[in-house]
Amino acid sequence: KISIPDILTPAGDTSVLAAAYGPAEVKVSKEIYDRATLDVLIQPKVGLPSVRERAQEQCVRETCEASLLLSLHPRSSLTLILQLIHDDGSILSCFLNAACMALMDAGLPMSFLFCGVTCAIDVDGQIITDPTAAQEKESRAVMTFAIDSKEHKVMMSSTKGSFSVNELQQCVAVSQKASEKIFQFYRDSVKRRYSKIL
Amino acid sequence: MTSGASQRRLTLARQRRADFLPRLKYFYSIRIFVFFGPPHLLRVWRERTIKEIKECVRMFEQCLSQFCLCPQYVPAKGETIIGIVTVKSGDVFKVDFGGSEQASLSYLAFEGATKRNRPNVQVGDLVFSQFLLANQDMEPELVCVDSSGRANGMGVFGGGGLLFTVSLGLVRRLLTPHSEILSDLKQLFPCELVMGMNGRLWVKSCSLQQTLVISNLLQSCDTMTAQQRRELFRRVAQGAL
Repeated sequence: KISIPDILTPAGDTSVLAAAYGPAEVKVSKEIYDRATLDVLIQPKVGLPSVRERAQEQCVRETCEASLLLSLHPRSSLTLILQLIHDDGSILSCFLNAACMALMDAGLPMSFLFCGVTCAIDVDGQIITDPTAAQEKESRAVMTFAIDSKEHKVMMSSTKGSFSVNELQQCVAVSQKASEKIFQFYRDSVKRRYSKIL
Repeated sequence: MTSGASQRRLTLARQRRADFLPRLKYFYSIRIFVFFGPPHLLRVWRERTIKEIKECVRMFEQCLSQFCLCPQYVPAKGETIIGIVTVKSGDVFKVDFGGSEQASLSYLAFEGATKRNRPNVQVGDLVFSQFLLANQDMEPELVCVDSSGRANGMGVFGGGGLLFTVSLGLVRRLLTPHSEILSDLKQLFPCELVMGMNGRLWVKSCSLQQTLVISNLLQSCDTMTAQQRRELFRRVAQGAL
């Protein structure tokens, strides 16, 4: 299933282009006998992917593997390519949202959807969701959570900076609330896309 | 009491159960009742249930794939498809049907083929065949004969026609018993049409232009409502294209 690339802009100008390919043939060295192999490739705007992109790829890959039904396509490969178009903060949550929409569009079987939400805690202790790059720079801590659509639980978290346990819990609560808006966006997009068929 | 081999089989079944039980809660209509009986029967019963659940999910995926705009074909036993021969190696042909891996087609799986009388199949030929074996764990196998050994329309074809791809949903609509699109098409031009359930159609008509017209019409039927389609067919019948 080749999915038409999706561009997602949840936070101002941050844009990502996502494409999902698969299930396709996989190299014997990479094949897993009972489930599909998921490859996530993140391409930065300029230059070759480096260590930072590898770390982001791992976050996205772990989240996708948790939600995809990989055992329906053993010894196959699913490839997800995320091309960064413009980075203005909240980049990891943008990658997560684009990944989920690409997988949905490709029709790959998933047990639930997921979305990414970024929270920043600034010097005053205020929690900002979907911060811009400027806000991220001035903040004390930046956290990204991947939230699933069934139980609104945290699937993956990536944090940077210093914060207390209370602040972490508050951020998780705020992210869970914000995720509902993103899932509603998914529903509206899919409805629009399939409005001619259904 | 249980020997080493059956113990290994038990752990494998347990692993497969552990793999699937988390997903069971998403299938509300399927309930597993714990069945107390002799251990051998219990093991066999549980393994069969997991297979049935996997089948349900695959059927569900197949039903939904016809509504997806760019779906990938997933092979299923008994479905007839159009494949392209890619490799001819010894006794087996490798056929590309647009799935995740290539299917194998034995040279004996043609009507009247014996070891001395090999079928005339070259690389790049189109074959209309059906799946003999198609599950996710094994390489798919194709045959060009039915269970009684007759070709029944299957085999190599393709001189002078055009092969193109459409979405899976359109092929399923064309293959329904009284398909509207086909009956409209019959009134337009006489043509020979082969429909593969992997989304590939092959059409051959009296002239090259008519062939192209029919292929364009079928490709555009994908994204049109019935009203728009009838309108388009009427314009073509009047000679607009």
